Amino acid sequence: MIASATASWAAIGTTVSVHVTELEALETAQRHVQAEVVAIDLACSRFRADSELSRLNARAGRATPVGPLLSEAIAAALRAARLTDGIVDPTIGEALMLAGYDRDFAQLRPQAGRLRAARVPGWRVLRHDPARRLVIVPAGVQLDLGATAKALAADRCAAAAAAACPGCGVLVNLGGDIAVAGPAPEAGWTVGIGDDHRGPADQAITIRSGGVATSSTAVRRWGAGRHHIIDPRTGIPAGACWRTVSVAAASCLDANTAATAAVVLGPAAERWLTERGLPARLVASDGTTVAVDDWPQEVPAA
Amino acid sequence: MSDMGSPRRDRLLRGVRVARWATGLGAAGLTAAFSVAAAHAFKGHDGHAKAVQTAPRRRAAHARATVPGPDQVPSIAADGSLQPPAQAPQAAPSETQQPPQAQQQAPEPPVSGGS
Repeated sequence: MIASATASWAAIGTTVSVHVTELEALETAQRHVQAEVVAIDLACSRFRADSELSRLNARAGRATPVGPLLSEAIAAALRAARLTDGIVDPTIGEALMLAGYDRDFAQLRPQAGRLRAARVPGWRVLRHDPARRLVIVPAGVQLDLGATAKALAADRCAAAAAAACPGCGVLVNLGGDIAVAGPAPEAGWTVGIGDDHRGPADQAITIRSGGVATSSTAVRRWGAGRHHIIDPRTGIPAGACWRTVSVAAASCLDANTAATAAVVLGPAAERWLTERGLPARLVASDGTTVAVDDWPQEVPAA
Repeated sequence: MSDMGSPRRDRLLRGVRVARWATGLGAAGLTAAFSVAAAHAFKGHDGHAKAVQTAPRRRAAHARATVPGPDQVPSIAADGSLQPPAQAPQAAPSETQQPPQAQQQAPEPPVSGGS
């Protein structure tokens, strides 16, 4: 059995679903996931004028107190930046806007013409005191937490739902960022892997803990070469080496950090993932796939 | 150029000097009048108030705050690497490998993909 009960709904510009191993736990788990999703949106959305992140960006150049959730999200983004040597960088906000991603994706229109590059200032310019929850974003810098906040939210959602439903296994899927917590089903959680979280899946795997995340340039595009994964070294969207990268890790946050880094790293990604022992599936722009570390080989279609 | 007698030229020069003095005095008077009017145009203004000693100008908040850089934050700096899963993912059994009952009950699995 894959899961006993499932609920899904639209939120934060994508699809959210929660899967539980105990039918009677579904309502409680869903309530906790909904609360976490609302909280992360209010804290970290770049497209809500009333979000904490928007207010922080508007106060660039000044020390700004932030709430515990935004402080945690910033800490997670800085950790991702450090562990990827700045390949996954939260200071790409200006570059994303120059690339055309300046409003909620649903409102974007196809764009063409020459891409404009922005110099990405780099994560080391930020100042963050987690103990006092104080942040200084330097003047002229715009934070974007898109590479880490959703994955962090998936981890938080799964943990919160599992804590509220003792003895129940929980899987949370936030637009393709998947986290599990609590006891897994006997055969593990079955997860589809594909270019688009709305399906169809190209491969099916099972996991028992942690998370799986996929970064792809095949979706969230608004023109040729225009997508949401920025290479901080160039200030423009990453090159076309890998179309989609899926990674399994001890948490969804680590999985998504590695998947995004792999897309940006291009040809160097395979070695980078292997050195870190992270099972991954990489899909090249021509559709050929590469399995890294312990990622299960795909069974050819009969 | 017409010839002009000295007395007449002197009279004209005196007239010009007087006109300049009158213009200057008028401008000064008007300036003073407007200043007084402007000074009384703001509520709360006290023409006899003593000069208030202003506090020394504070430095900008961001210069005063001692907020560490990300390299110096222990909770971030101490966390050394991206963590692999406790157990590697496995290939899911194909539908034909599952018992018929499981096939009927199984909903579509969640998909990890781009969003």
